Amino acid sequence: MFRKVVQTDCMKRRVVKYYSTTPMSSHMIMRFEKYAKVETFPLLKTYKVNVPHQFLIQGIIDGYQFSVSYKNEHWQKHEEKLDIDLGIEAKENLAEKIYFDYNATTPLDPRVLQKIMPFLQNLYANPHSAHSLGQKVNDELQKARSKVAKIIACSPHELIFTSGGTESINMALLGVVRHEKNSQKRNTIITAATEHSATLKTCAFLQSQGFKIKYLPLENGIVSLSALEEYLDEQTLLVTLMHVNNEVGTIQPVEKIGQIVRNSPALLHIDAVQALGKIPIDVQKIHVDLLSISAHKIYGPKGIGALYVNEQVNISPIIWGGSQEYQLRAGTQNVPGIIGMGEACQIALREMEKNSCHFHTMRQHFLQQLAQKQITFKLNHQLPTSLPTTLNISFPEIDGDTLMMMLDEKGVIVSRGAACNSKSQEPSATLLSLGISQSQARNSLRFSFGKYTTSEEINICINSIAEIKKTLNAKVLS
Amino acid sequence: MIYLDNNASSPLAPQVKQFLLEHLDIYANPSSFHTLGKNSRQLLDVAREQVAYLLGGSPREIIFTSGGTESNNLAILGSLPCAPKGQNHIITTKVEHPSVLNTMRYCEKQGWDITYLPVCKSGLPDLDYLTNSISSRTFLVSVMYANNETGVILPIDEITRILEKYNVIFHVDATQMIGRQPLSVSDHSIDLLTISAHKFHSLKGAGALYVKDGTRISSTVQGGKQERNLRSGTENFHNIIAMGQASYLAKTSFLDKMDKIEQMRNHLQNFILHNIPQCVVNGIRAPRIANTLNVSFRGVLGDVLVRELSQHNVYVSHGAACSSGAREPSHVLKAMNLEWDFITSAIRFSFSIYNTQQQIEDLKELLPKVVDKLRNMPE
Repeated sequence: MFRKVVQTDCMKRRVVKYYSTTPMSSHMIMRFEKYAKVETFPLLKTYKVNVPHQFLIQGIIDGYQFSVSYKNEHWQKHEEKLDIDLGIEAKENLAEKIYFDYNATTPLDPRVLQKIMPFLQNLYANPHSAHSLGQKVNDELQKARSKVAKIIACSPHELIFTSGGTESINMALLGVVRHEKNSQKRNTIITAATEHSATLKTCAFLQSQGFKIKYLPLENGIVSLSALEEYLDEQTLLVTLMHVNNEVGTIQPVEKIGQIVRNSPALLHIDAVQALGKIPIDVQKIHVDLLSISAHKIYGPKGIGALYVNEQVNISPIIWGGSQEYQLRAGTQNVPGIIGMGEACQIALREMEKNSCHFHTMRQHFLQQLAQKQITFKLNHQLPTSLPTTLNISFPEIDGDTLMMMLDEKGVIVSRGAACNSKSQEPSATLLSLGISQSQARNSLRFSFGKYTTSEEINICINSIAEIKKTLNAKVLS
Repeated sequence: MIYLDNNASSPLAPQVKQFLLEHLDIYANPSSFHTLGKNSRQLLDVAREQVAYLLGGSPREIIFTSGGTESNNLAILGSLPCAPKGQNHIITTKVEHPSVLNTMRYCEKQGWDITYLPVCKSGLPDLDYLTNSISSRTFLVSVMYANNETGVILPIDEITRILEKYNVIFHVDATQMIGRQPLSVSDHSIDLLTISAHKFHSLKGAGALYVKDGTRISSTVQGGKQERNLRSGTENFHNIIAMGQASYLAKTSFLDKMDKIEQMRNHLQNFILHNIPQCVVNGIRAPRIANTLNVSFRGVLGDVLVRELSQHNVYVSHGAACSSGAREPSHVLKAMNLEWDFITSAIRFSFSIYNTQQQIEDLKELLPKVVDKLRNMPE
């Protein structure tokens, strides 16, 4: 018999204590200990299990069914029947999933975690503190800055740490606009319709503020360079384009773009979030003024990113306060995040070649397997001009959402496009602007590979697709 | 090591750390539609409920940000575009954190009319000044709950009463209050409230803004529409779930230990006042959060004392961490009208539940010697 004690109403679903009034078998305790701390009170012959939140409670009762009684906020007694299988997978099952959504985010590299650990323990001081503990943290922070600088070949003092790619992009666009004194005249921004929503939404916001936004035409997903030359004029304040597309993996010719923009008074911002760690980035070669990167796409932590700001370029901050980050980004630095990003960048740079080979093999294998299983598909992008980490494929006559969910049930995790827009049932706006038809876009899935992807995982994925196709066809026939 | 700089940043609570390590293998993007994404989303929502529980609001009123500074910026810069015509006046105080003051300065350049409330010698704001300056033109009032340098708690109740008659948005920066004093947004008519995780034994890089239902506010970062479209960008998942755990602890266990901290603080305070000549405790006549002690040791330079103490593994600070790099005299103490000697010689001790009585005893041994040494040092 278990008693669940809820102390206040708003804790009802989160912080609950289960009291076992009967002695628990050692097997039960072991099951509990997987999820929560078990305190035993031998004298009272009771066991107290502190369950921090709902998710864990569901883990505990997985496989069991029992009633508990507890008192609610008015101290009335409540009986509650707890059912097993409440919809959330028990935690151990998650590890068995096959993940093909590396473009959305990546797991933490264990080596990165190892580097972060001291900053979860003793090195917790504020890096802005004047005492030696603060200075020690600050020294480590600067070392991490140098590591990040190395991967894009800039000087450490040209890097501003932010809370991630989205903030970096916002800072680049809004920072340039707000710094421009003559924004009545220089009021045009050039971009493309396939950009990340952080760019597109910020551009839409600036449009509502009176700015002119010009979208470059695309040829096979690549921006038209002649159009860029044509669009650039005295009024152009900024050109903002992504290095690698998040949904289809197309690589833009950034060096050529840099050459063109360089001959005009406009500034160039490159969103390199998806390119980082996968292809070499050299800010000198691109002649880029601003460049956004993010850690969680390269096996670093979430909540940390950076903006490269060329030392010749002045922008305005978008977050005001203390003098952190060369007075461009106020707020106590996310030290564990920055340390993790530094390590992730160092590893990514070191293993770039090895990973690149791996991605090519994986993509090759994936396409071969599809052909071998005689699954008809259509590619939404050109292979030679896209990164081997991403395959955006449409399967005729299979609805993308349905396929995604059925694959999910089989333990294969894929996505329909950018994570940010994944909740909408609409076809991907990126695919539509690439000239892909509504129906083809609806039938599309994005498979993105990472350094942990194996050919066995790909085999399972393709087999699952084949099985699902069979099931669906059988349904249609019957 | 004696760490007494918890107002700058605090160590991770062991329970939070354990929770974090257990959940590090969960990595999916909470915005992803697949099972793994939904799983992350659910954990994120649990954290949201935990923070709401701490603050006394409802979960949908919690917006996660990258920290206190961003929350303050979002509160101010996010609400201003929603101001009706004719309401172009903001009231704040002279003792706010730089993330409010510098944002106000930016707003001033954009044409906003800003009143900076003066404070009395005690550190408390001049409420008559507030009554006189508030008008139907006032759109936003932004004050801190507890001052980061002196620990002085502002009379939020009385301020609320003054604001009642006006149609203003009330923003409170409660960064230093969490885990140190009980607080509930529903007790006062607070519209926006800032918290920061690393001040209450969680990780840097996460914070939250409480946005009361119905408060008009626009986003300052555009993109993937996360956080009710108020704060785009992939959520800082691990830091946020850690903050959720810390919020629960702050409400349930940190507060219970505050009496002990207050005793330690008062013990050190009395020792200093009785045994070291020419010392002043700043903010002593106002209500203060239990963990903060700001003392001026006349004749000593604050930053020199900080460095000298850190040689002995005692970590305190000279003013706020954010401005300590700039070596500027504290704007808080300046606003309190302290004599110059007392401003430059101020030190902040900020305690946490992980400090022990033994550490205070050790400090009692050390502090008079160090102050004496510095006072007798030739110029």
